[in-house]
Amino acid sequence: MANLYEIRDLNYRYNIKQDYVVKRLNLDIKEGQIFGLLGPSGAGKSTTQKVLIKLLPGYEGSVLFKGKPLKTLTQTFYEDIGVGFEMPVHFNKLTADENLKYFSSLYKKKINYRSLLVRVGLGEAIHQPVGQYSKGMKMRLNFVKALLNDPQVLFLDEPTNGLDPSNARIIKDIILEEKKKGKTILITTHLMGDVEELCDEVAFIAHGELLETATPKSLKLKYGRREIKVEYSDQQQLKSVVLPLDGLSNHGLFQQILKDNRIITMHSQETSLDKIFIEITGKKHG
Amino acid sequence: MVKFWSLLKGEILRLWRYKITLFGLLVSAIWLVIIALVSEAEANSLLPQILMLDSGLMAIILLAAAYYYEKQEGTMKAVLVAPTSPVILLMAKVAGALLGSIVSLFLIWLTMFITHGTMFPILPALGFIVLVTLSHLSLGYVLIYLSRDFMDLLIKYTFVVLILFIPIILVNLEVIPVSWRWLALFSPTFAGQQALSHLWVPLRTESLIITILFLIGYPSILFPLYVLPEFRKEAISA
Repeated sequence: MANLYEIRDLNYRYNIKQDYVVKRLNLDIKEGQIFGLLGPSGAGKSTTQKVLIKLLPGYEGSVLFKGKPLKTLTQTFYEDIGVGFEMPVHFNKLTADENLKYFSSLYKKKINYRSLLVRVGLGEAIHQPVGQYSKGMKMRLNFVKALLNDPQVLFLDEPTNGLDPSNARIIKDIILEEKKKGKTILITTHLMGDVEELCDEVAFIAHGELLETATPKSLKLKYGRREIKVEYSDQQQLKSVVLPLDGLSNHGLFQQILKDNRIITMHSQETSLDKIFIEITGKKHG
Repeated sequence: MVKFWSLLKGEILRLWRYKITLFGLLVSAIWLVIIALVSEAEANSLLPQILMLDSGLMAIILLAAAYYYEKQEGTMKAVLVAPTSPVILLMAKVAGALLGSIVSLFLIWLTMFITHGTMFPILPALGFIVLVTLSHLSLGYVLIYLSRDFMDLLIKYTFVVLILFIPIILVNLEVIPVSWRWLALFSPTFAGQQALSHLWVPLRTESLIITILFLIGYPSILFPLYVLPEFRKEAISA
């Protein structure tokens, strides 16, 4: 896959008196993948995203978009970009329909947003002023707004934040469908469940620095412990033991448990991305 | 150009829904009642001041109210990631504010015709109203970007209005000698009132040209050099 973004030695600070909030960032984002930008609050994720969507032009270093310097691209760059900000931004006294009609009118390419609104459960609220929406409804409308121009590149900042599991599921399904269409999706989040389910590649950022880039699976292999937790019943008592996964079949204790006791549960001890997140971001700055 | 009309259409709808247009129309209604109640001669003498207050000073308040609503909602940032330039976006906002002044002018013109049977020249009036509104809107944006919030803006606005009116008072009291009156034109409020007075009591051509140049000066300098860079910066940080 070709690189969509090539970021080299990116530095950014909001003003000359402040410290850099993004420091020496080097990153490649490939076309057609879902890329997760992860890190604790204030890590520099949103600033990086703002640089990538040309909202913050005064950066140092080089950012190439499809091989061309980002700074040289005109406003037509946005015809193929969709952005879902972390805080939903809508005209609260306008209805959802009026909001979407207004933003849609700014693009050459448009989608039939009504069917998408129905899919995310806002079909019946289309003529309701957005100010009357709940936080979750505003988030879903924010997501629909990001897709208005059928963008080739989608930036989503915490797309499932504040959503109930069923609505979060719908949003994640749509994200995966967009990926299947060949679109590149950049997700900024700290919800590791979403990352595990959606992302092809992730980058951990803390204090503006890139700490690690990898696929979720390789991170799990790298940081995971190959262990198994066995819960078993021993003389009416529930006991548990953690055993190494390698050579398990020849492990003496395991063989003894199998022979003498009733196994209640048995789970491999995969390290969750939550733990990896804490380990990576805490290792350097903890 | 298509983007400009889309943005302007959105701006008009927004100003209506946020009741900013309604507030502007209510203020215009006050002027209409005054015009209808006074004699034709009194109306003619009041009109330059009324048009000045409506298209200049009221426009700043309405612009500020619209701006703070938008800042609260952070919507400008969303428009900046659409394929439109900040210049076009700013132009649409200014055009939206300008439209309010133009509607008000037509209502005043119509009221003069209906209640007193007289008409003032609408086309030159329209030109002056555009200049007066633009010069005051450019000042309005400066006030907005120098203020922390709407309350802070109102305090600064009161102070600025006082300063803008000082030249008018000094000229009316004949404190400023005739040869130094051009200095009063640095107040766009004075310049605006002088230009609008030309509709009833014609100025000398050179005076009119200098007045117009002063009115053009404010938006020509402030919009590109201060308002536009701040507009972009504020939109992103919102």
